[in-house]
Amino acid sequence: MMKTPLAAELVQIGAPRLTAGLDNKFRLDLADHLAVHGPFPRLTLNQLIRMVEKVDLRGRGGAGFAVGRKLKSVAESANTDQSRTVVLVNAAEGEPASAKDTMLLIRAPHLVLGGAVLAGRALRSREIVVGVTSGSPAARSILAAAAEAGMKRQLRVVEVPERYISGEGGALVNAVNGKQPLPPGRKTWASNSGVDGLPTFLSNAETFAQLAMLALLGPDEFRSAGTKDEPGTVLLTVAGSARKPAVVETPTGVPLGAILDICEATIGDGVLMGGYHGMWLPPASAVSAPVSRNGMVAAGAMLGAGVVAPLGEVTCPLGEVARVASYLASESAGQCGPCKLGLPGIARALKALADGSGGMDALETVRRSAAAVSGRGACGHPDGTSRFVLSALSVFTDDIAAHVFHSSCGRPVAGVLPVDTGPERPRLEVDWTRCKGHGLCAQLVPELIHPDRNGYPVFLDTPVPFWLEREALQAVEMCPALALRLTRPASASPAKPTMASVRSGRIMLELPAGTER
Amino acid sequence: MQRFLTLYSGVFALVALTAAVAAGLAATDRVIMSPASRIVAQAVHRALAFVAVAFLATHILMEIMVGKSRLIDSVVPFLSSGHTFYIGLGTIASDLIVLIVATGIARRRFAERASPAAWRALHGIAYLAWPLSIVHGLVAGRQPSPYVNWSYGTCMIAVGIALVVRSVATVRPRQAAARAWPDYDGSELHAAARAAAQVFLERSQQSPRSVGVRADSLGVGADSQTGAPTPPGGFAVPTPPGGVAVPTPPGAFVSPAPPGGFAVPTPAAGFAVSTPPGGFAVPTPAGGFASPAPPRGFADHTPPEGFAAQTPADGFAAHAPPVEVPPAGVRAHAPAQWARNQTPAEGTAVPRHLASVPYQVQSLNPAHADEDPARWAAE
Repeated sequence: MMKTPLAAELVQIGAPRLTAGLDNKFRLDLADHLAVHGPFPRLTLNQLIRMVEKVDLRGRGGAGFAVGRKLKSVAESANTDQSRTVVLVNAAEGEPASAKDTMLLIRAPHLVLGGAVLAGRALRSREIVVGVTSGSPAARSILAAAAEAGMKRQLRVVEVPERYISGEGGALVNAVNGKQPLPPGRKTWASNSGVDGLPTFLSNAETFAQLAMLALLGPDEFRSAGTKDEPGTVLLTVAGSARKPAVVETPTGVPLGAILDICEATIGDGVLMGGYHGMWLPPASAVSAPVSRNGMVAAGAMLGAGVVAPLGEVTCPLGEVARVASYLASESAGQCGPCKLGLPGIARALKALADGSGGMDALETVRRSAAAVSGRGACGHPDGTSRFVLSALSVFTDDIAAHVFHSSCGRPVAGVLPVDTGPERPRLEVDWTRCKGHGLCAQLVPELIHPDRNGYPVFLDTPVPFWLEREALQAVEMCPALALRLTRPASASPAKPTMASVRSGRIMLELPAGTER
Repeated sequence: MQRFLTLYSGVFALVALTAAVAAGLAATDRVIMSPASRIVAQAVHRALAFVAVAFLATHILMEIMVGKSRLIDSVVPFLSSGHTFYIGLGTIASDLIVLIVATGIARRRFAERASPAAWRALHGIAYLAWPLSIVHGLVAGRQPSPYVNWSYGTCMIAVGIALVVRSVATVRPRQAAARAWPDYDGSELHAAARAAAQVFLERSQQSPRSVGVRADSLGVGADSQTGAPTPPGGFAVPTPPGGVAVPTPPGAFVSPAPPGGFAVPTPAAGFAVSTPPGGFAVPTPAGGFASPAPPRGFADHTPPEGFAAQTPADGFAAHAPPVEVPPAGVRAHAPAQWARNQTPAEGTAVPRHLASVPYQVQSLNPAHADEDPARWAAE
């Protein structure tokens, strides 16, 4: 539950753009926003596309898709279908280490809103939909901003459960359409058929803020910061070992080392770039790698959604990777076989490698299983997990050697990489004095339980995912030794909405009393 | 229909009960049955038990409806003087069966709180209730055919033998596991990996202090911080210039204070040393962030030779403390090595020269904040 952008500091490197004015205001309301940024120009679709293409603006959600192409594609679909369009702002940050979008929505909502309105006007959209994680204060902030701007009717906020894959575009579209917030089985393009089947301009919240900035500054002024290829600024979330975790706005091209320095981070064994679907940078290249998409790719990593997670020296890298892999496995939606069985396999082998019980076999298993799941699911979850794990294997060679040949590197797993499992979920526990290694549980829940060489269960260190609860309960019922139990944490609060509450339909948020004008 | 049920619901209840007992007993077996078939047996056991209870309820209802018994006779045995002893046995059996089914339903609660022994004792009453119900079925009602008597007799003897076998013959988990499960995760050990591991271990035994020393584990991680070269996968041996893919001499592992750690043999490739990356990041002081930093620019001007000994030009590697060499014979992965690093000395953690980048840190509660941040804090 560290996902409070309020707990992180805001660092501005160079002249601030998206975060301008936030140095002496916590939140820019409409008046503050106008004082800092001035009014938005009105732009036609062609003007907007020309501007966007002049600076080659890319999506900031991780994939880096060209915004110009997306705008064109939505416009073409709308032309062909003779239909209205929808603008969908993706602020459902599923990434536990990322906080930039939530920060933007809370502290500078009018930039995001302005970008969405610019796109919406150009595309003659029916409405603007903002997807946020449930319970996030971002929902209240953006609704208040819409009320300040007098456009409450055109804006809808949809809450999605706080899960890793909720931020996936297809899952978000499903959630907005009142379906289960899970990635669709077959790849669909929101630009063809998104919200209510209409052509939908779907992009990350920071992208809309950048779009607003571009419109305010004009392409020439926009290019005055950052590198030539990727002008402008980027928002990063620096977490991990940083003693001052922060959301950082920086022009592109600044060496990563400088940012880590400012956030008082120790690089240690490596830096995770781009989030849990991202890649690791070894310390040597992490210091100098320039912050930009191309720079990160050249250094062997990716910018992704701007998560920077240095590992530090006091934690066991392999243990951290195993922890995150377990988290990613339990965050699978359980829809696609290769993912729902493959990721637990990877996580289990990583755990065995990290605790010394797996050795060379486990290393081989990790390598093979990670390679085997890539590209075999409805969404990018298996691919991203595979990328994350394989990159860790190639960067943490020393640590792996220590674990293979000495069982351990001697360092504890400090948990510097946050794993946020959202609302507390039940866990499977065993009474070891009762367990007689019958093996029925491993047969019933192979995703979570595996027998060791002696036939006793090895548990994946994650809560039971929602799609496995029935099987887990059955395993408890059927354990011949009555050794297994499903524990619900005492602090389980039914307050947080679960899957079911979203299934029943759209959740519309009303403004909190007193914020309306 | 009512006539049929009156005549046969008791028979069906008894048959289902017998089958349920057999299935339940079979489900506990681990000599012949695999875990998968034991799961099926448990499911069948439960289904049969519910069928038996359903027919039992029908049987009792029918007996009351045709006026052979009163309501109270279905619960309390031996009350009615006009009824025989054997009908009373049936009443006892049905009471016990209800109890047993209840324990079956509440099994999860026993796993969570009470002891398994209590559950076993209660559920094991089945071995008393079932014979009682058979005696009731065979004696209290119509005269059965001889083969029916024989069949039930055989069932009881079979279950008795199975119970004796169950209490005498136990299978240790290891035996069961050896039969039922493949080795680790089903993957065989990669031949090359095994060979590599063998060679590595043999060599490590030859030299007293050979593996497991991470150079940066001994010093502070200053060299990794400052960008001193830590070639991933390179042996930290004074290798000849451009020395890559050298068949490593055994002495390679004995180098006392390598700055770069030791290499991990990639399992597939055995000991082939991977090529160190073209250059190490000599961090340029980041004065102009607006200037396009060419992505490859940092790597290009690195001299090709002697990567292990290379120190960055501006001398901040100097604050790497002297490397301590653990005494011979001590495996250098002792936690103490790491414990020293847990509080890195102030100033060594980050390269200070990079701090020249202009920046400002905004604290969250600026003095002139107009708004209460708590209002936007997460609930």
